[in-house]
Amino acid sequence: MNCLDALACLDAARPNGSDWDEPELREARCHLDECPDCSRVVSERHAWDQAFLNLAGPADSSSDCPDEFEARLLETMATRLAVEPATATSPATTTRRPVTRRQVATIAAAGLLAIGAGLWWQARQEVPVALTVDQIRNWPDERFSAVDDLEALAVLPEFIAAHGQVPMPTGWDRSWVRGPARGWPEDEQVAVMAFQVRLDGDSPIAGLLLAAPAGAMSSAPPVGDLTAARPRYSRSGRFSTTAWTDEATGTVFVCLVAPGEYEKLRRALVPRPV
Amino acid sequence: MVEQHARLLFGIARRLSGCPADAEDLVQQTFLAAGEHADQLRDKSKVRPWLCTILRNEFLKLVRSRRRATTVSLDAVGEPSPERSRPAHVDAEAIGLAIDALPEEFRVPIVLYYFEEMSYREIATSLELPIGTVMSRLSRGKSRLRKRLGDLAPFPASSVARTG
Repeated sequence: MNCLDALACLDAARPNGSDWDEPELREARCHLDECPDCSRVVSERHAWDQAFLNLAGPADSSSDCPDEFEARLLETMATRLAVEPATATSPATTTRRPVTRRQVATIAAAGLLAIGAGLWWQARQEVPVALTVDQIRNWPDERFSAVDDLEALAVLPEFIAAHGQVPMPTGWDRSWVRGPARGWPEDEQVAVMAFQVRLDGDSPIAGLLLAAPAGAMSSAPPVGDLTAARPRYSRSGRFSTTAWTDEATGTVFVCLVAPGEYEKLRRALVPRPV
Repeated sequence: MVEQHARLLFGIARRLSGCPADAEDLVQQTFLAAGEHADQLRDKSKVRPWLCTILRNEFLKLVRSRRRATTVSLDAVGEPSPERSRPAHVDAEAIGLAIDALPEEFRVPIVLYYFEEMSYREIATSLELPIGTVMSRLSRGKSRLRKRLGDLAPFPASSVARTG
């Protein structure tokens, strides 16, 4: 093997030598053992590779990521997810070609028309079923681990869109909420937020805060804030739940924390005497 | 999930595809596929590598379908003029432009090699190409990058070229 062929072969090898035992490289390696010039070039090329990677930087440093990329992505995907069940011909049709933005726009337009017609028809046919607090407390617990999934994103509650954001309970700091609010996959009246409250000298309390407009509930809890509410376990016993009605915002909140955490949260929310 | 990982995925997709519009479509397709197969993610702490794998697979599917649609002879692709295109200062942007300037036949194996840390054998399997073809494309692609970007390390790159 001559120098050029050997160098071309070794160009394809991993710099860390992980594939140097492959049969395609054996001859080139033998050549390298006998040719100090090629050995030097290979070292130089490995140094060049390393410098190249250092200069290239991590993939997320891409400077041309469009503004509001995430928002646009979420919007497009929500449209796709809302439209797909109506356009799918059969469950067996699972192979999907990459969808261009023009296709998405067409699908979105058709989808919006279909959704609009559907909503109009539904509004004429049905009276929305009011929720109960017990329903929210006892929704299957395993679904809570999926609150950030794409299905949830597709059904952002209407009242979030109307208000711009989910109201927060009186006394709660919006910075406790981690990430944006999600819609509940099975009910578009309920928003779900993950929260974390940091405590002085203690581990933080993490939980879920569910919010629904009081008007959507069959009956609103009589208590006005978390500290006055009586905690109850969810059906599975995985969560300690409290429900209250925030009169200021007209919202029913249900808070879910791990068993034993409620008391810590309550103490954190009670104003301390000065 | 989208807000946390979209930019990282866009960066990878941008490098793989060489085009922001294609990268956007790829990221979108990745999240849709992730949503479809969410039950396959057992360990939620590994969501990032899981998404990267989906992205790579989506990209490879795209490349393979494009290759079936159009075949371009690499011999028809002219060599770039290094003197004309060499940047005065090499930084991440210059490297990005150099990668983008590679024809897709070179760019894809190069990106998989450098940024996905795949071996030539893995690249050949992924792209459904013969091993010799991948080795040749890696060598020629790297040679083009070296010519375009010049010296990056303290050593002169590829200064020796002689037959043995």
